[in-house]
Amino acid sequence: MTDQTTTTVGNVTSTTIASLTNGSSYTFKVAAVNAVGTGAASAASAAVVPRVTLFEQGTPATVNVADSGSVVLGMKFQTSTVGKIRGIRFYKSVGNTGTHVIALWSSTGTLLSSATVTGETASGWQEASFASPIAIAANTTYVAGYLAPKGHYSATSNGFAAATKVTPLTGLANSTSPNGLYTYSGSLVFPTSTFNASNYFVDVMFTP
Amino acid sequence: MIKIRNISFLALAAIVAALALSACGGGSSTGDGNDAVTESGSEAEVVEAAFPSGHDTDEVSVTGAKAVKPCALVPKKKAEGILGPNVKVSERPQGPTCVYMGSGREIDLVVEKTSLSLLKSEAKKVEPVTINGRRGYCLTYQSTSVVVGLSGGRVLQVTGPCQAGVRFASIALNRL
Repeated sequence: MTDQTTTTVGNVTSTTIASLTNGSSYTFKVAAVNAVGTGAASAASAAVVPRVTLFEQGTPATVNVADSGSVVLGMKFQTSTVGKIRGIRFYKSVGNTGTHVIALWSSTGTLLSSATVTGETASGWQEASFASPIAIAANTTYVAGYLAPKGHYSATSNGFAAATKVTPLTGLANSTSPNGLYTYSGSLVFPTSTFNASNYFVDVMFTP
Repeated sequence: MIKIRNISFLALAAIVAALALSACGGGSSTGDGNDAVTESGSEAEVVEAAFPSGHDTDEVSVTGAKAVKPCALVPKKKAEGILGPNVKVSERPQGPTCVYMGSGREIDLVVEKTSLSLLKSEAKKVEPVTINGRRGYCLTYQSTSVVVGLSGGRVLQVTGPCQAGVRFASIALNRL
């Protein structure tokens, strides 16, 4: 265990901590400091793990698509460096209920890993990890997806009209490889259809 | 790099980051419920899909092609001739797609604007099939789809068992 201290001055409600390592777990404590000295630290926060994602705080144009069909939604992506996919995240509307299942496939549909999502919040970005991180190769296409058994998924039309890049990740442009994937199905299947290059806000958690 | 938000101290504050080591990561698997959620996630804000729905035969899609009513391409009776009785038919907005469910089998039928050559290049297995005298392909990924190129850069895609997919595609092509 290593401690790192960052000090910020003034009336602020956030700070940025650099030099963290992707894939390592961190907790945070806060303490007040004045001329007398340093006060007692707070309890540690829940652990968080820095990772690279494509849409970190992104929000879809349509949060809740009025569609109650069970559907698998996905996204094709590549990484320019080898690394691991720890899990999948997806944006959830309040209507997107039921038991969600995340999955990672090769570009030709070989299932590399899947997991049932637990501990969801009512809406917003949800995250789930695979039992073990999945090693992925550089410059190779993979598909991340999840099953929305009650539909009401989120989408941005033409979201993959151009590539989305957050080094080393790239969400492929629809012109490079049809992207923004869906297949209506009652169970987890490899999604193969596309519609208007829609981004369904499926994301990966990558660590080098 | 991590941003910590909502730390409410008026004056001098110190942040002690206690680094709990985790060689393989081992982080939280729960959602973090970010700020954007509650405002945009309410049922009151359910909107119709912002995509061409194809419910109106006169509708023109963003691609300029006349929208297709996919469930009209293979009527329920015809679908039951392939899947058996009591097929449930529903049109879904993505695509739009017609979903046929019967006898434990599910068929998705959609006319989509996409690249047939890219679809073929990314399949695990490509098996040529002839449908109504036209060249189509049964593509194998984890599942199978039958695809047939249409005019205007469109592709008829029937996702389901290849044999049933060919029969659905044959009926659909007669109406396209």
